[in-house]
Amino acid sequence: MIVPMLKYSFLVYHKEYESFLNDLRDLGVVHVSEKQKDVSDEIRDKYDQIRQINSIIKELQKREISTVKTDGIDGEKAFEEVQSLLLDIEQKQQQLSILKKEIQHIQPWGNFNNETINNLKDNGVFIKFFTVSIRKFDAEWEQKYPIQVINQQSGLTYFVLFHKEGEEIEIDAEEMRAPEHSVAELVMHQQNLENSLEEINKKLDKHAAESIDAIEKHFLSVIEITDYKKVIENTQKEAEDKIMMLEGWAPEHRSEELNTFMENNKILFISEKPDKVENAPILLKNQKFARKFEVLGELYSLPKYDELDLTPFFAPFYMLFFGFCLGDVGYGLILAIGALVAKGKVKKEMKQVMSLVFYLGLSTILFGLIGGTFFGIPLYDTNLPIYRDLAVMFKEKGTDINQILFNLSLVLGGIQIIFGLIIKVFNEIKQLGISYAIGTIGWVILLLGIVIIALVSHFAGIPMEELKTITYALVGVSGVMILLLNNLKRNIFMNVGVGLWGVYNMATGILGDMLSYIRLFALGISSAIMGFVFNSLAVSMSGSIPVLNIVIMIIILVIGHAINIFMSGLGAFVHPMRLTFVEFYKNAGFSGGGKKYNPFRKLT
Amino acid sequence: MEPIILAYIGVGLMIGLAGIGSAYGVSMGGNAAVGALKKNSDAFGNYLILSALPGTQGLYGFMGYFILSGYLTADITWTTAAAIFGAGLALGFVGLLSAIRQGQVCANGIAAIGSGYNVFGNTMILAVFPELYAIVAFAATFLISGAL
Repeated sequence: MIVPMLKYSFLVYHKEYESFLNDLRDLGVVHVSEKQKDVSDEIRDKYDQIRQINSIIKELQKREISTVKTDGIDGEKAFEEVQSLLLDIEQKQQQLSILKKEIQHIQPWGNFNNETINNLKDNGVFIKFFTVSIRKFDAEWEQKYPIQVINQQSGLTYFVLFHKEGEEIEIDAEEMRAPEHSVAELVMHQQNLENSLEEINKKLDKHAAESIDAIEKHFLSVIEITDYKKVIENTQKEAEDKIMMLEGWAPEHRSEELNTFMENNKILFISEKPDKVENAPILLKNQKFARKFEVLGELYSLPKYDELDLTPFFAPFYMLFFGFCLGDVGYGLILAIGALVAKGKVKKEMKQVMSLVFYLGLSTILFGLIGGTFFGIPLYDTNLPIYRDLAVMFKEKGTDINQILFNLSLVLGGIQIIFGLIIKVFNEIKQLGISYAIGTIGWVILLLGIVIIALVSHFAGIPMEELKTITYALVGVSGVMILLLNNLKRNIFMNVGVGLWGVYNMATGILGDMLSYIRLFALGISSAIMGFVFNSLAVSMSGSIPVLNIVIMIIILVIGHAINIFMSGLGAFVHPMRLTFVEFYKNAGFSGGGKKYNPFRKLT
Repeated sequence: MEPIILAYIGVGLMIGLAGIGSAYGVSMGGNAAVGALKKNSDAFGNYLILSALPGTQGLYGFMGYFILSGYLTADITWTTAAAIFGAGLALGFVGLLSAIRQGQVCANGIAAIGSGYNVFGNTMILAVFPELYAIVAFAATFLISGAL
């Protein structure tokens, strides 16, 4: 259910505002109303900063250095240092790669001294560097021109040409710019860069070991500052900025402590119940079972403040559907046992998720037992006592387990749809009043009535003929409700028109919705068959060498079932969600769009 | 013409088209992943999983053949051969096109993750929808095999 909220307006003298906000933050109960949609530039900068700190923390964690508890580290300074160190590494690595390329480029020229070249220049002798392909090198050049071959490498001949100042000599070869440094110099430069990179990495490792906690605290404190600034921006300033007015929401059950605090500090406030139009923040409160499913609901949307919270209603259905889709005793055991084991080892937020996985695992085991699948082994085809008898019984009735599962998926769908319509009745009564809900009540009576009559006729053996009068009465009553009474405040002819439109919508809608539930059967079948195929593959492809064939068989089994758990698990997770959010929510009249309750509170 | 020819044409279509579809689908994901790695090389695990999602249609084609393989004898009847041919058309074409489209969804998701948007979970959810129809086609194949 949605926790009832009270709307608060506070009036505070500006000189006392800062201490008021600090106290409010310590209480951590009030969700501040956001006045404007856009955030100021200052807040946007803060968000950027938060993002940067977050990525720095992740970079440090990636180094996978075991942490050492160290006190007295300034989180903000550590963050800035790490940021500049990382930038430094990037620059140095770029320089290093350019350097490596240059070394490779002039390496053929060997070790020479730039001083020698300068000396020669001072004495009027200039050097030009040339390369030419070995084939094109003319041996005559060595006689004709004052050249010296330095090296032959990778199909190229490297040579130098000596000339006097101003002398122009034409040679059919490619001239290279004179290398500014010798290889030795560049190699030394490279060594220096690599040394300093090592230094930087050591510093970063030290930070990774010691500073992560401090930086995380800094992270939280920046978020806290940002929240504070946001609250200030959402404050209305009156009377030439002398009076601060703040609007917010608090849950009803905390209102008493809030009121006491306000009265003790002599702060003016008004508290009132929200009216229909206002969008109070949504805080969900469910009992233990349904609480685990709140995360799923949030993936789609939180309810509006004045409608019903559907989490406790869709939770059992989702659990059943998941089990139906995955339907394998073995996979269910893996999920359930895995969740129990993981629950002891994960952080607090994930514990709820592990409980959810545990429930889903149980449901998978249940449907695995019903559908007769254990790690892909079709139990109905084996000679196990219960399954053998059941298989015989099915065969006598001219059906088999798959037919039964097919029908079961449609039946579950029908149940969820009718249940959704019943909820719609309550939703309409809650939001609009009973005079608007009569149409839907009529539909519920009609559908439930038809189902009950059909069941009675089928199981009690009463032929439909005798039930005709009851059927007519049922259709008559519900018809009146649907077509004539569907909106007591409206013109009756409008009602009929809208009612007929509703009939058309219902007929096509319900048919389509029910067929949508066949996907439960399809997914269940496909996961069972995939397991079966992997089993057969493992047996047939393992070969006949004594020990090796068992090893191969196990490898294929493990890989195959792992693939199956992942793919079928993904489908079993997504498709029941779609059935919940589309078919169930639609029939239950869910609108959604609520904002989550996020009180202004301390984080550090 | 012998009925077995029609049956094997069906099997060929089933495995071939579904396999082609998966091959196209996962390579679309792979191409997008190479591009995304240039921008964000940390999320390779995400790219891997999303690329692999369209791979199941090929498996379904093979599994379809597997469950029908018992009926592929030399003295197969026209009815059975027609049923196998029909299943082959259904699973083959649905596998082909749903895998290609699923690959496009996954590739878009991978490109978005590379650009820094946190859409891994949502993309996985959206990518599962085209696959549903391949699953339905496979379920139909299974029911066909049950009716033979």
